[in-house]
Amino acid sequence: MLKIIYRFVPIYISICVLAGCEINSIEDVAIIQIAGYDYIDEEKFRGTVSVPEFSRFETGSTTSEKYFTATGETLKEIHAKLQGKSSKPLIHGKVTVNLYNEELAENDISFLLDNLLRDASIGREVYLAVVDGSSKNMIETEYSESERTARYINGIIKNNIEENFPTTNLHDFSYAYNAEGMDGFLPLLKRYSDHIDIQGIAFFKKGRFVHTVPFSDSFVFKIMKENMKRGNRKIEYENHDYIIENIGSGVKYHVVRKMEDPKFRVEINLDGILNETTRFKLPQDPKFLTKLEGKLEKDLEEDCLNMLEEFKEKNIDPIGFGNVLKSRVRGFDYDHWKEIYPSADIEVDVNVEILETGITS
Amino acid sequence: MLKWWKNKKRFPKDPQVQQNDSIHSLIETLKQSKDFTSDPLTGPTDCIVSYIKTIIEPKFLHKSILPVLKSQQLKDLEEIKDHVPVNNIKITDDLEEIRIRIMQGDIMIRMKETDDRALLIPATTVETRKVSIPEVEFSVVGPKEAFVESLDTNINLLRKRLTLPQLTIREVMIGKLTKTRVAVISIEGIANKENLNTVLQRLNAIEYDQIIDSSFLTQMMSDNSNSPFPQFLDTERPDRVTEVLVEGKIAIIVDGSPHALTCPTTIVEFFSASDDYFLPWHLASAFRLIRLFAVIFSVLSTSLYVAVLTHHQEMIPEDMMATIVSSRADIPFPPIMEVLVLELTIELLREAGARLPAKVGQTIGIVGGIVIGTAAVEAGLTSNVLLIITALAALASFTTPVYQIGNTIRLIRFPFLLSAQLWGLVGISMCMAFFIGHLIRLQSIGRPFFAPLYPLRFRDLKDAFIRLPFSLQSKRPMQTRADDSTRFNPNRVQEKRDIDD
Repeated sequence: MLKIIYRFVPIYISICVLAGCEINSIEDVAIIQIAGYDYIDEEKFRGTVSVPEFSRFETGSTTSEKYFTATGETLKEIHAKLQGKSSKPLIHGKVTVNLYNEELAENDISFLLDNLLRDASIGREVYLAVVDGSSKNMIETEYSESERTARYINGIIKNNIEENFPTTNLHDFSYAYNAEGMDGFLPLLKRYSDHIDIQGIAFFKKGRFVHTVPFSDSFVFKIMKENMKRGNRKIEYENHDYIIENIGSGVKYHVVRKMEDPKFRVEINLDGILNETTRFKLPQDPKFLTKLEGKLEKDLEEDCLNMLEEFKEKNIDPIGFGNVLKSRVRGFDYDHWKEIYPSADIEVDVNVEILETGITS
Repeated sequence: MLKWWKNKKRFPKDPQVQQNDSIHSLIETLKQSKDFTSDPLTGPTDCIVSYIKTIIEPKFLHKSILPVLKSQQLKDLEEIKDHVPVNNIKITDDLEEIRIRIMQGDIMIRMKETDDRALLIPATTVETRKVSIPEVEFSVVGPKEAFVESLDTNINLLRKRLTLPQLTIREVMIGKLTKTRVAVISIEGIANKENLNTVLQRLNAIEYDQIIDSSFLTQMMSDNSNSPFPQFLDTERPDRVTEVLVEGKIAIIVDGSPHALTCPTTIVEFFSASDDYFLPWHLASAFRLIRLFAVIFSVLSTSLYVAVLTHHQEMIPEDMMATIVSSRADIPFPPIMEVLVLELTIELLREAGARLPAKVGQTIGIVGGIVIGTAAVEAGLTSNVLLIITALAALASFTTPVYQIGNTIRLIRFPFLLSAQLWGLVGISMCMAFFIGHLIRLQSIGRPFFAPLYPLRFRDLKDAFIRLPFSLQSKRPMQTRADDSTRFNPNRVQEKRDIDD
């Protein structure tokens, strides 16, 4: 009899002890959906969070947003201050976008990244972005009546990742941050009076924002960085513009020469369809498409090489050549690689195939 | 002290109910009942005819026995035995046998009041229900016969499907008072001897005063009678029993119960309906998977709701956030209370519906489902999201083809709910681990209950979560350890097909 009682003692104790942790039902918590951080001075920075408020009326449910701002020297300090302004406990798990203003990003965001990665309740599909201007203003502006700011910004990034913008989220960024021979990048956003634009790509050296590329060139970066399925690119050929829609491109990195004097070849195979042109009819020339392909190949190769040249100048490696080399070479020496990267020889080889030209030709 | 307490609880010696030491005292006991007749017959033959009026066939007595006795003078029991045109007549002086056979509806003839020897002529008539269509395990296609309360009718239903001399029916009498006939049915040469012995041994070991239904046996014979999972599959379909007999399993039929028990069984068997074998294999497999999903959904959906809403808010999809939060906004209870109230309401409805006559039962369903449901949401007692989840979970739990496992599913939801409230998803996983551990340990007459998953038996998986075509089921399930494990020879099938083409 006593034996049975003893057997239940640990269960009983664990129920008492563990049930002591605070339990809040969903309607009793404030769910942070977007957080933004701004630079104030060397030590302090400002945090802004937005929390949706749901209410139900006879006609249906409505949502409004509430904003909290606090300044401090550490994230925990800011959180404590924010908590002091809220009637319900703040929950971080549902945050979808984290914004950093340009100045803050230039001054290293590693410590903020570390905080995001440490929290088990935060997923790895959180979008991070650099804001040209103040992130507080960006969060507190109402852009649309039907959409909350968090969803709006989230939507802009997500939508563009499917098109011309390279894939980015907390997971990718932290991978690049921690990898040897790879640097991260984030979208660069700018607020206009009633909307937000992606300005371009913000490239990082570890946690520091060092270089930017305009949004119009993100197609070039994306085909070098990853396999993609959508997106489009303009070519000028004989005074006319042609838009080639990418329906599938693949990229391969070849290591031609190894450690001492590394040489890479980036092979890009792009299948596209021609879907818009400024001239009414395509010329009858049967070689026309081949010529167009050739022109696009040349253009892209040139653009890619220019972009890579810029990267080398800034000593950043967002494509991750170092990482590629590390995976192909035994005894990869990271310190040595850092020295020779700016002089590494990189060749870009683009193969374009235009598969169709639409139903009017 | 403890010992003294134990001793005190020990049962007193059971007073024998049937304590008759002679035919005479037996007749005295019986005479207390109005329907017992023991009259001396006058006429050519001098004898005493005794019987219980209510369980013998009077026509039989008047047409086959009395004419013989009255038309000629017969001197002793042997002579009567020779003249009465009935089979299975017995002369005996064994009191025990006389008692049993009289109570079963035999007519007893003695020459003199004081004689100990008696002639017993079987003349039983038993009132039974007609064989009707299955109501618990209804199927759209397939045979429409269900077992009834008479053991002999039930065996008849099996015999006509399996015209096989090897179909063996062993009978055991259980129940100190009811003396219920229990038939153990198996196919000699296919059914494993060890299984059969286990069943017989367990049946013989039962010590109880009454066996009213086969479900008594399920509880008494179970390997683990404290488990919520039934370890015998009960079915009212003779076709299903035939199927499993052919697989080498053993069936137990209890007189007076329209449900047969089959064993050894596995957990997956409880989710396979007889429809599965009447439909093409791909359809049957798909429906079986749907049913399995329904069961998992039924057990886990409400506890997941509680876990996510109280512990893991970040798991709620962005698009559902507004719906869930605004529907929860006015509700005064935490999610667990909300779920418990709604679950209990549904359990109440189910109980009420099951106890009421069919026509009123339907009304209860409508009143409960529509009126109480919408009213509870409008009054702000439960959220409409939860109402949908609970209703779906209840609906899903009805998809189980075997009623008994449906009850189990009804019950095991609650531990999941409580652990979800205490520890969130971790709690659900712990509860799941506990139940899976329990299932792995469980046995059905000594054969693993969680097979073919554990131990993993690929051959049995052909008819577990999916049902592969009959042509691939050339072996009997490993679970039964059948003496003859081959259903048919696949090579011969190939040969036959070649000739056809």
